[in-house]
Amino acid sequence: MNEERYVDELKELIVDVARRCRNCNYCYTVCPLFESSRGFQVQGPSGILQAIRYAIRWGELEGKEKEVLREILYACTTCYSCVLKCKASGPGVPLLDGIEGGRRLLIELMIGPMPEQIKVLESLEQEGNPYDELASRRLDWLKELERERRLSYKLLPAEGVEVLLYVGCTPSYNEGVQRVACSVVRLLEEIGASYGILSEEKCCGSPAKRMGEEGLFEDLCNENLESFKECGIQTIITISPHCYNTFVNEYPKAINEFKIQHYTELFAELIERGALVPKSRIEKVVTYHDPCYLGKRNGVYDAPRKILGSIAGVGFVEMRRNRDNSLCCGGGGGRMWIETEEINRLSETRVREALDVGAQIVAVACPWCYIQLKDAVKTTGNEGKIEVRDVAELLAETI
Amino acid sequence: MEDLSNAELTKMVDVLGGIVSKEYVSTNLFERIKNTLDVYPYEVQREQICYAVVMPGSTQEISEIMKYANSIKVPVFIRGSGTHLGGNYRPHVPGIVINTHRLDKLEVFEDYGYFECEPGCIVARVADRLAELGYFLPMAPGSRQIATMGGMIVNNTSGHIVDPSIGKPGDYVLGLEVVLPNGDIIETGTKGLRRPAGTDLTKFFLGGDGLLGVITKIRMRLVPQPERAYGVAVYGDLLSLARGVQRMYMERRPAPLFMEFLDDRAASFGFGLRGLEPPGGSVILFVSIGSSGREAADKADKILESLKGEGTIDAYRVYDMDVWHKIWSSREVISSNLMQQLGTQLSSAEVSSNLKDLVNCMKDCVNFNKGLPILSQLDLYLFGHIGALTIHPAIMIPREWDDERKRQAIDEKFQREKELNLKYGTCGGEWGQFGKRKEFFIKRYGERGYGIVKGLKEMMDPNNILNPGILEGYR
Repeated sequence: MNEERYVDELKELIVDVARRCRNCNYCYTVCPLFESSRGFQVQGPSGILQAIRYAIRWGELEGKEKEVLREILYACTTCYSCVLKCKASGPGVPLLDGIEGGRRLLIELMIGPMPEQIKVLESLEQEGNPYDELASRRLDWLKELERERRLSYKLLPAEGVEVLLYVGCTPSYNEGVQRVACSVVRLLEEIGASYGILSEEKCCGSPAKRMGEEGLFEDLCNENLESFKECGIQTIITISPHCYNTFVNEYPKAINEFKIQHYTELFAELIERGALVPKSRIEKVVTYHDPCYLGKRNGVYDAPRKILGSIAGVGFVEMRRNRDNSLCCGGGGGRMWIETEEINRLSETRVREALDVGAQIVAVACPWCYIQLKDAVKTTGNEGKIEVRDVAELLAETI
Repeated sequence: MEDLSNAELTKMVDVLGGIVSKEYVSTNLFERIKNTLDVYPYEVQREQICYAVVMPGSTQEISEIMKYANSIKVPVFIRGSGTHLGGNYRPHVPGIVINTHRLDKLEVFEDYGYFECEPGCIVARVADRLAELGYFLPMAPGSRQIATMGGMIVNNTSGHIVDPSIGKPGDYVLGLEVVLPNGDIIETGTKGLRRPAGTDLTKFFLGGDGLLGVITKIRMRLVPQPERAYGVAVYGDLLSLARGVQRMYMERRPAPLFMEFLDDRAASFGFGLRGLEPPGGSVILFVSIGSSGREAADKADKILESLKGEGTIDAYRVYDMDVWHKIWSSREVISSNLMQQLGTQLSSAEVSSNLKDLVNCMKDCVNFNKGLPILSQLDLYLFGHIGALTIHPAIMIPREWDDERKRQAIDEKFQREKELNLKYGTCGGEWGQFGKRKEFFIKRYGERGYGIVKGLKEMMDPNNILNPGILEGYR
């Protein structure tokens, strides 16, 4: 498709989505951006959607308004709450199709992404990760773990391996989140899984997709699909809900030949079948923070709770906002790489909500939630009062 | 009025920034557009867009904005959540939009027997807070999750509540704090539980359509949370349903807090959405209240006795709360799901009947779109707050229609609504009186009646600074 036609089609898509919005503004009641900002109307779903609509309709994609528009569009956390709200109470507008379509349009017109995100995209293109880290160091964490214990994984492609542990960029490179990857590996070893890890894993493409860099996303997508096929695997286990969502909902149909599972789904299944039994106790009050890309986008609410519920000693409590009403940590939608003004930081609000129900541990199942909430525990001065742990870490601790 | 020059605009923004602090003034084009939009499905025009949006944090700041706006003769529009269904919100000329979002303080004074809130408080938040303390907020708009207290009080609307049961919110308002169009601040009413006899300034602003002042604080009496009992009646046809409601009043039954109805198609659709069997006809759903469960139940039983009659297929109490939630929520999700399944935008009229003519009014509503050039092409559903004798003929406007055609459909809807409310000697009880209803107001109450409101407006707001267009019906 030529570029001009692509741009025209994008504009049509956005205007069509926005025309369906009736400005009832119910979406504002669930929007984390609106909650954490000063509360201007463009800091909420319908306002963002109408901004890109009128920019197109009134020819405001050039000139002084374009940078204002960019800031508006890239502030969204893409948490999906607005889409669910509109489906439940409104005309069912797929608001994020319009907002993310807007980001794609800005990229095409060289207005997007945000300046801080440019190097993220470059890193994705050159090194296959968004963190400006060398591709060659992607498996360093695994080698480190291997120094501690013998591991049975195979480096893929290799013969006879059915399960691929798709580690993802953040668990591979972030020092804190590497602990989560290690925990998942320990659990796979515990159940005696025949599993493999890609020798040259690349990003699933989610950050590129969220920033509107569709071409780069498609390239990563095709490279990953080819590599999955080459490995002869049947199942892909992800650590990050963002990779999970990208594979399940955004990859071409060819991905359907593989079974995609978030690690919480796999371990909950095994626990239910009695194939994985938590042994030691954790005598703590634990709450669970639903990651948007696992919960709201994919309806996986029960699996992590089943895992936590299977650990003896855990006193499980729900926060006031949970499941499809859960509050976003603020890290999604490409916001991990930009400075957004937050009057009330979402992750700090979330930590306070966990403390309000008496939790000593807030369990998460997403690398970005992990980073965001851990940071918020520090910035709110609650170190020693509450811990942020990944579900995998807690489960591995009991084995 | 003439457009402001760039220098004048810059100065205005500086002054506004000085009043509310710069970070709460926006001249961002897209913020200004969104603050000009309302629920009507046609686009805004450039010439309507406001100059700036401000979010004041206090009564004093609003007062200063009003004084400044008067000094430069620039209109001021007050915006809560912009959900007004009578078209009162959408400005028609540029001005300053005051968004009440930051004015969201709520304080409950149990020892005084009232609560006070600012206009930007969201209705659901207030209702939930009061419920936690064992009190009941006497208002229930369909948009409760986003509607603001300021918007509710300025319209004096109880939303879906049956007026003969507990009245309007205004019956519970003890007093207000108001910024007048010239910036003066006044307090009305009382801090006692007994409202003023004789002249009560509160009444000029309560349900005043935003013409005479900016409400900045609302004081309302605390109402103990009532006990409730629930009932359903199913009818073979809508006329029998209307007769059932007439009997309820004629037989001197205690009016229920809520009494909703759904026509056959809407009921089947709604019940289906909640996994319930189709009720097999048009339905009434009602909630009776009392100070005890027994009193509520007695009232519900008495209502059921009257609802039963010719054409009644079934009439029963609902005891299982899970079942009741499914039934009640089926009403709540109909509009959204119809829009989603039919690919339409729903737009309702508000027809009120007098008691005696309810059956005839229902007949007219069944034929609401007949013979009208645009509306007759559209699908029609009937539902509404039948206990309050309000019927909402809901038309389904195809999303793909152009703005002009949508506008014509909505004009026809208001025209037909006007004819029926005039025919039955009634008026809208839910959405306010001006905006798109100005013509109705003049027909209903005469030029003299309209002149009284106009005179008041001119006296209080000689420069026509506050919310111009509502009274003129420009929107």
